[in-house]
Amino acid sequence: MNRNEHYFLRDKRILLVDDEQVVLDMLESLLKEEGFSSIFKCGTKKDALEQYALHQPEFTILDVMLPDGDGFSLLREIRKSEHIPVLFLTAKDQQEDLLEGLGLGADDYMVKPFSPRELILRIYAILRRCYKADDPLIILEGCIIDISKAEVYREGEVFQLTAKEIGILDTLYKAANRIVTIDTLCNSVWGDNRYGYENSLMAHIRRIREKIEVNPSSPLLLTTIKGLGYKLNVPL
Amino acid sequence: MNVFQSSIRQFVIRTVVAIFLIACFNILLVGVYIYRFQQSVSGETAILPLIKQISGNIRMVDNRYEIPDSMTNELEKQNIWAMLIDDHSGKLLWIHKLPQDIPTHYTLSDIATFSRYYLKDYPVVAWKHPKGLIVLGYPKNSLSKLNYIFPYGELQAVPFRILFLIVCDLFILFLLYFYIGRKSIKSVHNILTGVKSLASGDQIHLKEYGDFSEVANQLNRTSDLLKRRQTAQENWIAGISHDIRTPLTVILGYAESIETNSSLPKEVQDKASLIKYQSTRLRDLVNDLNLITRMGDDSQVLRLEVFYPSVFCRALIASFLNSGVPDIFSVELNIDKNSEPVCLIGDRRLLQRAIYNLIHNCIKHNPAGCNIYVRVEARKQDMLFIVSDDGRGMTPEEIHLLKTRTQYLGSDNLFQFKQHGFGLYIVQQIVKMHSGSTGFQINTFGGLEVVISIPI
Repeated sequence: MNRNEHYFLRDKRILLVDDEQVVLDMLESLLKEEGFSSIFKCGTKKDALEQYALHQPEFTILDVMLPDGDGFSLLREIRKSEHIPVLFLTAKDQQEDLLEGLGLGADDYMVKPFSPRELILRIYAILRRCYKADDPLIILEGCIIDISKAEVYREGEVFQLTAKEIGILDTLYKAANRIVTIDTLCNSVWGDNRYGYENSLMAHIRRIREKIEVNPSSPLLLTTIKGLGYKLNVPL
Repeated sequence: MNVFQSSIRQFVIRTVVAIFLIACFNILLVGVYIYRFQQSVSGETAILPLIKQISGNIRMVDNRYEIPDSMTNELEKQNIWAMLIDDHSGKLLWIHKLPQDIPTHYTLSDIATFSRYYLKDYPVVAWKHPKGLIVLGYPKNSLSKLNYIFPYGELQAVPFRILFLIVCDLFILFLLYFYIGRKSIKSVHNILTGVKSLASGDQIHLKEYGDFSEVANQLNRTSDLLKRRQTAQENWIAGISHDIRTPLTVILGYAESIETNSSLPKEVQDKASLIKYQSTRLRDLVNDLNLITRMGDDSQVLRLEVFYPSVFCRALIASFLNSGVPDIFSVELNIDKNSEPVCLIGDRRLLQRAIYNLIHNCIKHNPAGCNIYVRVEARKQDMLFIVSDDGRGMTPEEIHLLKTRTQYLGSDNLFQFKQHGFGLYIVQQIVKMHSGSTGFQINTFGGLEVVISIPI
């Protein structure tokens, strides 16, 4: 992963709201291991609003069930003043809760117990989507991509990227190290009418590989997951 | 026709048959009575034969009329008095034990009167004799004399009227049967509907009216009680699963943290990995319990939507792989070209869960690792989701057990599945909710192949 950007994302102030102290401690430990440093914890809705006013967090992980209210109403109150990214982390696994959470504008919804690795990946995905680095460079093994200039720098050469290629790379980078299906990629580039664009997508992927890979016929950075889609391998 | 309606009909039929039998019995009794009456009027000692014999046997002996001793004895035995009235003079030619108050001279009008009714309250009968009229007088209150006069046509119509009466009776019986049957069925229909709904696990609220209002009331109370118990059970499971989730979150979080911490000894990492695996099993069990509870609830209806199975499966497998799968396993998706443009109507979340469970089963039952193959195929009327692996497979007996185990699906004893987990049970329930079918077989690799077929 782009280390500069990594630092940039890890500098974000994160507010954790959960009524269970052990969960708060575990989340804090997890985030600190990942390199996040500005972490604030609270167990009630009231404390959360105070912490929010005090520290102005840039990302919030919210539990739905709180002793003095619920996470949904807390999100509504937070969103009155500013739009900060929110991830619901809750034991409530009903479809209705998920829909209500996402309907309120939450950026993601995860049900406890969760895979810590997945949580971290999702947090990065949300942060990447919401906060752009001043220098939007994607640093891969042996190559650097400058999205703003639509250029790839590899082995002293500069390769120009087309709009479609940037769209594909942007989608892959937002889900870095995760498989992105061909349907998602086609949707992001051509819209809902994805059917019939698989061959075009393959052609674009081939051109991207020619620009970013040392050996495009044996790709290491942009790998194919047979039958599913593609994955952009970003160093952690 | 249901059992209750049939019972009521049978009850009504039996009642009608009973009425018919009673009527037959009555007719028999009347027949016997008539026969005995006939016997009493036509036997040797009966009225008409006796007077006929007297009329035929009375003789003039020494200017006196006499009857044989046997007849005298019979008259005395029955306490009958007798006389012979002369046709011309109206005087008595012969008497036997004539009471004091009986006149000894009669006019035509006297004879016409007593022959129809009584003579001084004595019931009398008369019979012709060459010299006049033989009259027998029975003791007072021993006989009743009735005189009816019927028009001849009316008497001729009597057989037809009796037939008409029988037809009318049968018609009335049929109406009665129809009315009672219909009324009974109508009144229990409400109850029957309630019992059926209750048996299907639905909550009911019957109108409490009519003969069965008490039963309706009891059924309503039973339904409320069942609903309260069901809600309590669901709340209990939901509460327990919620409470388990928090400690599991912490255990899983720290276990994974220790597992991936390269600064720790490998032995510790392995133990953390084991804790994580067992915690994942617990998590799946909690999720399964929650889902089973919700699927058992009638309020849980399918959230149907139209989607492409191909897109759905790609997203599902990608998400599964993204969540982290041990290296000893691989998941390969193969989508039949024909199925790419085909849409399916179903509950995406539940179908996703079904396929996830099947993939998870491949992992669970092949701890040494295996390749997992997911295939999507469009048939004429069905969409097939095939999950198979090249793992240890199953013996024909185990396959047979899997197939026959489906018969326990309606059983209350879910713990029959405990030894196998709830995963497959959930898959079969979800497929059943989609009117589909589940098949099991051994594939060419010797591994297990599960085929889910959902109607398009």
